Formats: sequence, structure tokens, C-alpha cells
Amino acid sequence: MTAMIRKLLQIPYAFVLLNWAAVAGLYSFMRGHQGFWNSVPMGLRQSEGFRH
Amino acid sequence: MAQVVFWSALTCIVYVYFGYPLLLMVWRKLGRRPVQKHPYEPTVSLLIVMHNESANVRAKLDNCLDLDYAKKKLQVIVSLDAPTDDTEALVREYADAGVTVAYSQTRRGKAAAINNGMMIARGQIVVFADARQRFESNAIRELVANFADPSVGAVSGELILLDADGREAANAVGLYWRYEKAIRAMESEIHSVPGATGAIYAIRRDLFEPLPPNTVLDDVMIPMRIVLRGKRAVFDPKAWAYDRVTETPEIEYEKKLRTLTGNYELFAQMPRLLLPWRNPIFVQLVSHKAGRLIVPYCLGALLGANLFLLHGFYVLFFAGQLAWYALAFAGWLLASRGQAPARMAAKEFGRQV
Repeated sequence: MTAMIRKLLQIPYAFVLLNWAAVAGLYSFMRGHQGFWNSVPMGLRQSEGFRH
Repeated sequence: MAQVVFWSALTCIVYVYFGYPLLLMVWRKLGRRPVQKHPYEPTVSLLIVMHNESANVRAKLDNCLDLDYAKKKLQVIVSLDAPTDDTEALVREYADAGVTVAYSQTRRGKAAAINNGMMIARGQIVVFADARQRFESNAIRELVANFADPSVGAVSGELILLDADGREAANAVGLYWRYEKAIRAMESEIHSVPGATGAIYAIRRDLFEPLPPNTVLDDVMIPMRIVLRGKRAVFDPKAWAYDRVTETPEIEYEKKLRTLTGNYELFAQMPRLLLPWRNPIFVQLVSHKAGRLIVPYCLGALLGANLFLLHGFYVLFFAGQLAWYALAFAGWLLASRGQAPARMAAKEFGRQV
């Protein structure tokens, strides 16, 4: 029963949280925090540091 | 004034979540464009970008090498983005099996690693994959069969989220993902999906253009560039990759934060996407991607406007809104109780994606 209530309550919680992500995403974008994998120095040349 | 704000916000929310899927259902009936999918076996490069993936390397590469596709026509490329764990050593163990490595000594980001990998890709078709998800053995065969249709430039596969029992997930995140896939399937039948699934998608190599550094959503930018060049980006629900469902909304939040930040970046980098005469899937992109960015502000406006409209029907609506947010708060309390590990996992996941 508790598990069922927890599961049902996850729906409004997830809805609000995921919508909040859009607001936080705008803030993140405005701050220039774009590289989620890693921030990359913009000045680096495309081929620098690579080997195959 | 409050009524105008209230009804505008409500219309926007209802359109994004319900009206747009209904529009797609009707549109699909009137203007369905089936893909001429046929058995087809071009050369394929399978590109996987990795940073620190020592936990996933062996399973991923074993999976790639077991795929049902002619070995002489399949090039597996791992583009390493300056790993600091055992990832490189583990990947190089597969050199004899034909796995090619592109390596960056400095950490440059996923977009740069994709560009690097693409420099050594030789296949007519390039399939992009992430390190964690596993492909169904016929996934590449299903993906490339779509390229028998010359109008197709990109194909997204289907990511199936599994729960702990190995069944398709039915929690809040799993249900949301099913809803999302249903929309993508309809968009694909009409023309194109505005973005692929990063874990499994393919393009014609000659349509690739190097990504700008710091691109967050390669899986949206690459297909959208192809759509702008006049080709279709379709969704194939028979090309499967599998992943574990995120058990908590917090982990999904970290994924969404990345995706939605990437959507803002996408519109900033490619403003022509917002020109209906340039973008053949303008309606889909605005309804699907831009709509999701606007909804939270509409929710705020709806609640705020309702405060000034406390009579008749509006009282009931206000009570409904309060109840919804109270339930969300209760959900947060329940999730917070003893969920510190989940929040830590979410932060870790956010660092990894």
C-alpha cells in the first residue's frame, strides 16, 4: 500500500520537478554552463590534442 | 486581464501535453509518409564516445562485437575524451577485435570527441551510441534498413527503459518516456522527429557537419541539421537499445536539466529552426521542444492568475491546483526520506552525462 502511494505521489512530484528543470535549464544556459560532459576551452583548435 | 492570462496559460499547457498529440493523430491520418524500409547492408561505423567508463567498456564492446551485422562491413570506433581511469587500457584490449580508438589527451567535451571520431569513420552510415546502453542484436540491421529510402538522412532507434525485474518500466519516469516515444512515432510518420535518442541513432556519413564545441545535444543538432538540408529524420521503433530506468525523479531531473539547457542552446545556435519557411518541421519543433520550455512559466502564470479569480469555477480550479502541488510536495517528502543516496546518485549521473 505504501509502495503504491509512493508510486502515485511520484507522478505530481516528477511533473513539478521536471518542469522546474526547464527553469533551471534557462538559468544554466544564461550562466553559460553549456558543457555538461565537460567544459571545453573555446579557444582550442579542433584537432589539438588528438591522436588516432 | 487575469482571465486572459489564466486562459492563455491553460490553453498553452493543454496544447503541449494533450492538444499536440491529438493534432499529430489527425495529421498522421491525413498525411502519413511511410518510410520505404528494405533490407540493406551498407558499410557502417559505430561510434561510441567515452570519458571514464571502465565499468561499462567490456559489456559495451562485447555487445557491439556480437551484433548481427557483417563484420567486414562494421567499423567500431571508440572516441576517448581524456579518460582518467582504466577506460583506455580496457578499450585497447579490443584492438585485435577490430575496435578503432580515437583519443584526446585533453578533455574537450562530447561534441569534440564526436568530431574526432568522425574523422576516422569510413562507413556509409554512422551509428552513434552511448557507453551504458546495450543494443538488441538486430538493432543496426533495423536502423540501416531505413536508409534504403533515399529521403531518409537520419534514423533514431528506440530506447527501452527496463526496471529491476527486466520489464519495461512503469514508474513515473517510465510512463513519461512511453508518452514521449508515442509522440516521436507520430512525428516520424508525418515527416521527422525533432531530435533523436542519443543512445541509438544513425545518419548518412556524408550529411555530417562538425559540431560546435560545447554542443550539449548532439542527438538533436545532428538530426535537425539533416532535416534543414531536406532529408527526413525518422524514428524506428524496431531498433532497440536497453537501459535501466532511473528509479527516482531526482536522477531524471539531472537528465532533463541537461536536455532542456541544451534546447535553449540549440535555439541560440540555430535560430533558423524558428523560421517556419526554413524548417519543414517547424510546428513539431515548436510544439514539442519549445512548448516544454514554456510550460513551467505557464504553470506559474496559471496559479498567479487564479489567485485573482476566486469565484465560481475558478475556486474549484484553484483548489485543484493547490491539491496537485500539495501532492507533489508530499511526493518530495516521501522521496526525501532516506533518499540521500539517490540525490548523490543524481549528482553523479549529472556529472557523467
